[in-house]
Amino acid sequence: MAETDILGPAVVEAVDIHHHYGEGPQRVDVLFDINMQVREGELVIVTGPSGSGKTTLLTILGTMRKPSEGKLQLLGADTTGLVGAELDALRNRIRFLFQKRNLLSSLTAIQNVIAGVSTTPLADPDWDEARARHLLGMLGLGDKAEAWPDELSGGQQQRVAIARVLIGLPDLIIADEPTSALDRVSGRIVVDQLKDLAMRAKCAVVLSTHDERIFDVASRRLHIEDGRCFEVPIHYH
Amino acid sequence: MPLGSQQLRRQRTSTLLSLAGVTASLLVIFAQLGIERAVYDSGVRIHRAVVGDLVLVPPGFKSLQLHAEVPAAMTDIVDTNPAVAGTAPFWFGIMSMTHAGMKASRQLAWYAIDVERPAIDVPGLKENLYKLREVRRILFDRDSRPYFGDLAEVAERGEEVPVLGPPNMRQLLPEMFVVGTVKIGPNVVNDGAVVMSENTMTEVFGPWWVDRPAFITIQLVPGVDRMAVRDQLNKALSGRGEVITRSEFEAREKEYWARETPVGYITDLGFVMGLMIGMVFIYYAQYQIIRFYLPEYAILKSLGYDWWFFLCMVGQIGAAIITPAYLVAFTLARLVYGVAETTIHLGMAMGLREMVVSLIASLVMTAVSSVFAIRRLWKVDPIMLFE
Ligand SMILES: Nc1ncnc2c1ncn2[C@@H]1O[C@H](COP(=O)(O)OP(=O)(O)O)[C@@H](O)[C@H]1O
Ligand SMILES: [Mg+2]
Repeated sequence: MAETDILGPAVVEAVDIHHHYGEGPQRVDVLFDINMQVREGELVIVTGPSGSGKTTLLTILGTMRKPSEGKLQLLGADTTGLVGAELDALRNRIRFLFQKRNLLSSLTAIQNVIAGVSTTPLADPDWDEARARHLLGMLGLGDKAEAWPDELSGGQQQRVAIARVLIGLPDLIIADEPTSALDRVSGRIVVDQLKDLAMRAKCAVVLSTHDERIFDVASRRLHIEDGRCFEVPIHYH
Repeated sequence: MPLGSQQLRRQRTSTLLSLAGVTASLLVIFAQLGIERAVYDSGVRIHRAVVGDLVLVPPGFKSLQLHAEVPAAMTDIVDTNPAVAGTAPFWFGIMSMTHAGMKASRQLAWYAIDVERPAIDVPGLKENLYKLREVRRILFDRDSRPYFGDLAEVAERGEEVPVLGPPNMRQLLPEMFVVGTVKIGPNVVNDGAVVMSENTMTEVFGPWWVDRPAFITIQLVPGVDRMAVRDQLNKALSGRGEVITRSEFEAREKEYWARETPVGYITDLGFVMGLMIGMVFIYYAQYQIIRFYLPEYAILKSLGYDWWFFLCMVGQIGAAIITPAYLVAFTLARLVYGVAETTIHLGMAMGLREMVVSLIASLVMTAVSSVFAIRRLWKVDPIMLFE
């Protein structure tokens, strides 16, 4: 219980989550009895072999997919049976970082970042642009603001995507293998910056990967194998 | 966010194709509108020239071109109403005509008036009216199509130009003299016109015409209620003739061309076709972009953008296509109208009606295609972004 006091309140709380695809003879059970918590300011890494259900779990945590069974609490709200405007409001506090194709190719880097906030009708364009520039600067991309996505390297594209995630001031970031398309050095920069900025914003992060070299950024590591999930202690080098 | 227009700029081929298609479809629409105006407006030139407050026409009058006639005796019934100040008959028919400067004879309209009380007023008529008092003297419409040789020019120089009218019962061609010109303008059916007196008409076509005017105009005593008098007269005529206002007279003729001739049907069809083709081309541009950028729209959905945003975006793409297309089509249509008008003389022109109707058509095209396009976007699910 001591740990609960140090860390913030639970952002994600999954209770007995079970998920299967298809029905009848096509039925594939992917996740069994998932129980997990992610707290404010935590970066949780989800590992597991390919096809073990990491993406499935992440889409469930991000409310993109309803679990077959079980309960998911997000930011204190029970998501079971949540629809329409309430679900949209909850989703608006979650941001996603995908493996690739995160950016809109016909928008410049800074326009891509601003796209992360202009959903709100109260948006102030000048203020949004200033924040977007500031974030790009912090990510070391100050001089790339006007560049088109196809002029950026894979790592730079992921960092623009991080800026877009952060500008929306989310409470939860779901990142599905954000470094697997990158080389070692850029992958490292991407996760370090993601962790640094997310922790500053007191935001919870769930990140799936099978890249062992980045395990050390995690607060905790969950491993999925045969559809079951268990916590693995982290060894700091 | 200037997303729609930036995406369009990157999809150059489909954008240009769509632009060309929409421009062409708008040109089709402009052409239909131009033809309609030419047909309708040229069909009511005489109606607009009518002098008088009301018009006495055959019962159920539809069009002058149907050669219906109202018995001259009806004038007596009309005249008994104290609100009526006077009446004036107008005759109309078709005849063939030729003169030394023409290779073959050609048909044109003849209009006959009572010289003492002309039922119409057109430019050139008042000052030349006295010349018509002499029998077989006629005025030629200088806006006639260019099939009548140098008739107008010679007549305007003050010369009396002898012309030959249609053969009479003894197969002789009666001689008449063009002594001046008026300005009326041809319509779809008549390439030209001449104006003559009642006496000339009697002499050339026979006395039985006198009793068969095409319509009779009615002048009212100043200050009376036009509509009330119209109703009184209709009651008195009890179905043997019909009294209508000038604007009703004009409206009936237009209605006839729009509803009872192929012209209205064909132009409506052309208009609808233009509209649909335009829609298809706008939809094509929107569809190409949506299809190409589907994963990017999924990203926007994952960021919480709602259908309203997508509708604006799709509308933005549509607007970026329709605006230049409209401007180009408008400019081209004005040129085409001008070129066509020099030959057809039917009053084809870019007026407010053409501009407003084509603008509304453009908006409808964009709105409808946007609604169809948004349906496709609706199915985008951000879950596709997870590999
Ligand atoms: N939409 C789907 N329909 C059916 N089966 C699926 C679907 N998505 C994933 N699966 C299956 O579920 C299992 C887990 O997939 P996934 O969550 O993508 O694993 P990971 O991300 O760890 O590679 C795999 O066996 C995969 O074939
Ligand atoms: Mg996966």
